[in-house]
Amino acid sequence: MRQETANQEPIITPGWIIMPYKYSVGALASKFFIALRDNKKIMGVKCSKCNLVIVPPRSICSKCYSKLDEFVELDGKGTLLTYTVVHYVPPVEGLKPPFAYGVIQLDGADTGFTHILGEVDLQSIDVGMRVEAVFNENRQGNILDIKYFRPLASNL
Amino acid sequence: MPQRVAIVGIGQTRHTSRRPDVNDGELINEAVSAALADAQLTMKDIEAVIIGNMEFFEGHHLNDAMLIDYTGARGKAGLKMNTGGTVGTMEVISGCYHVASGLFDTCLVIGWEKHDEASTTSCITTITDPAVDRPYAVGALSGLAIISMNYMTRTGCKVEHAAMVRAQASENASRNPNAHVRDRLSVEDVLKGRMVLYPLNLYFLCPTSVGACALVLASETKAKKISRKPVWIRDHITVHSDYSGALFTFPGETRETSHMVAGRKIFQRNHITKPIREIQVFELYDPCAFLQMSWLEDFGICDQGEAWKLVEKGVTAREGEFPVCPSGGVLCTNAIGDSGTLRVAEAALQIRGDAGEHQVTRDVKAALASGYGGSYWTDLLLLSKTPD
Amino acid sequence: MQQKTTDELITQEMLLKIPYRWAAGEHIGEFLRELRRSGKIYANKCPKCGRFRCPPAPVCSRCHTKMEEREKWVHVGPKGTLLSFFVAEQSFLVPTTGDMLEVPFSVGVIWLDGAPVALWHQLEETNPDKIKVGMRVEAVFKPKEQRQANIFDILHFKAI
Repeated sequence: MRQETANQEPIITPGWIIMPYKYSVGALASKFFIALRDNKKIMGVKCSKCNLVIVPPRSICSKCYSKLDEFVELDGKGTLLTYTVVHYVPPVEGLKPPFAYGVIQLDGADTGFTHILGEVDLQSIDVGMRVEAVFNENRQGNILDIKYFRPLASNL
Repeated sequence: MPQRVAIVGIGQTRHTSRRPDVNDGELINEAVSAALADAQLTMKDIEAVIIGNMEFFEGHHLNDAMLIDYTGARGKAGLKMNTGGTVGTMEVISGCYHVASGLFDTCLVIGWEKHDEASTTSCITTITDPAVDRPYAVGALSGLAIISMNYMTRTGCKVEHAAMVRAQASENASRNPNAHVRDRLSVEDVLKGRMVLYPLNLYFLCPTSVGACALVLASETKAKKISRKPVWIRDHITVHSDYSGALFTFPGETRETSHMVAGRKIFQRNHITKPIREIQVFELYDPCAFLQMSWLEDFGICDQGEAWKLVEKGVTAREGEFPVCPSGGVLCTNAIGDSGTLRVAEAALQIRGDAGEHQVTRDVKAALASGYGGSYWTDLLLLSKTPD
Repeated sequence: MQQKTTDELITQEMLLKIPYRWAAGEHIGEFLRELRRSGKIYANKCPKCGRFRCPPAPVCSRCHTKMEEREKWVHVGPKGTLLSFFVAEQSFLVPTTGDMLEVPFSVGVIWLDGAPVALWHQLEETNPDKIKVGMRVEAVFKPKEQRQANIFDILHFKAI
C-alpha cells in the first residue's frame, strides 16, 4: 500500500470544535465576582487554621484541607512575582500581541494572582515592581472586570 | 501475591440537573467528605487519589489540575483518568491495582461530572473519526439507537419491554434519595415520551446529571483494622472491543462482544456456573432501556433473546430473583464520570445492607457492577461480603 | 441567625472554538480518493482470517495481521441491505459547525453487497414508518465534478 499511495495527495479533513459552555463558580467564589462587579473590590479568603490568604478564593485550603469561608478585603495593590511578554498569535480569539501578563502577589495575600499587565512599557517590566488593579467600566462578574494591573506611580 | 482489596468508604452527592451553587471542585469535595466520613478516616489516612470524568464535558481540559485542593491529592500519588463511559469503573479498577500491588494501603477514587455546563451530545460527537463517522454521529445516542433497533430485530423484543425496564427503573429511583430523575412512570407514561432519536424516546435514554461519587479502597490488613463492614472486590476485568465491531455482528457471524468475553471469563475463573442464582444483584451500566436487556444477555446472565422475558416476569425488579439496578441505574442518574463509580458504590451498599429504601429484599452475598463506554470496552467487577 | 441562601450565584458563559486538521491517513485516504475518482466504495480483506473492513483498515483488529496487500482491496456496494437505523427528531448542536442539526436526520448501517461490511451513512428517507430493517438501499453519488474526496461524495443512500 505504502508504495502505491506514496505519491498521492494526502486527504485532510478540516473541521472545528465549536462548543459553548458555562462555568458555575460556586457560592463562595460568587461573592468574589460580585464584589469585583459591584464594588470594584478584590476579596481574598482566609484559612482560620493556617492563616493562608488565597485569592481568587477557593473553598478548601490548598495547604491544610480546611473548609474556608472567611473573606478579607484587599486593596488591589501588589508586587509582580514573575511575568512574560506574549508575541505569539494563538489560533483562538484573545488579546492582540505583544502584551504582557504576570503573576502578582496582592498585598495581604499569600498566593499568586495571574492577570494582564497594562499601561506599561513592555521593555521596562521588572520582577518586584509595584502594581495596582484597574477596573473595567462595563463589569460583568468575571475576571476581566479587572482590566489589567498597571505600575504604581511610585515605581516611576 | 497481590493484596486483597476492600471498599471501606462510600460517598455520593445527591444527583440533579443543575448545581450553580458549587463549582466542580466543591461538588467533588461533597462526595470526598462523605466517603471519608463513612470510612471514619481523614484525608491524612489517604495515600493515593484517583480522579476522573469525561475530559472536555465541562468545556475545559485537564480540569484535574484545578481540582487538587478539593480532592485532597496534594502531595499524594495517584492518577487522572478519562476513558469515556467506563471512567467510573476504570478508576475503581485502577484503585484496586494501586492497593493490590502492595504499594498503597488506602486509595481514594472519585468519579464526577457536571453535565449542566456544556452540551453532552455535542461533546460525545467529537469522539468519532472525523473523516468518515463524525458527520453521521449524534453523540452516544446514535450508537444506542442502532444497537436498540438491532436488538429488537434479533430477539423479538418490543418497545413495550423497554418501557417496562424504564418503569421499573423509575420505581427504584423513586426510593433512592440520591437519584436524579425520581418520578414514578408507568409503562404507558414511558411510551408517550417525546421522540428523540427513533426508536428511542426521552424515557428510554439516560438523563444528563450533575453529581459525584467517591470510594475509599483499603488493603485487607487495613480494612480489617478500620472497617466493620468491608465489601470485597473479589475480581475485575476489562475487555476491549474493536471500533468497527463494537456495535455490530453480521448475520451469520458469531456474536462476540466485549461484554460476552468479560462475563464468560469472570464467571469461569470464580467458578460461577449459574450467575443468576449465585449473584444476588447487578448494578449494570444501562444508558438506554433496550441495552439493559441486551447486555444482561451478553454478560451471560441469561441466554440470547431471553432478557425481555425476564423483565416481563419481574425477575429483574427490586423484589425479584435477580434485581438489576435497584438504585434506578444509569437510566435515572447519569453524571457520566460518576456513573461507573456509582454502580460499584450502589452494589457495595446492597452487600452492606445500607441501601435504605432501595435495598433489595434478598440477602446479598455477591454483586456485579459494570461499565461501558465510548472507548469501546467493558469493565466488570465482582463484589462480595466475604474475602474468600 | 442563619442567612437564607438567596444570594446571587455567578455562572459564566464562554465559547470554545478550536480548528483542527485531521489526516485521514493512507487507507481511509485512498478510500476517499476512490469515492472521488470512480464513485466506488472500497473495502479490504484480511489475508489471514478473511475479515473485511470498510473503510479499509491497515491491521485486522481480530487477528492482528497487516492488511497491506493491494489485491485484497475490493469494491463493495453501491447497493446494500439496511441492518439498523435511527431518525433524529430532536436537534442538537453540531460541534463541527456550531449550527443546530437539521431534523429529521436519518442514518443507516448499510450492509454493502459483495462483502460482510457495513457503512454508516445518511438515508434519504426520514420517515421512520417508511424505513425497514432489511430493506434494499443504494448509494447516490454526487456528480463527479462536485466530488471532493470526502465522505459527502456519497450524497446519501436511497431505497431501491
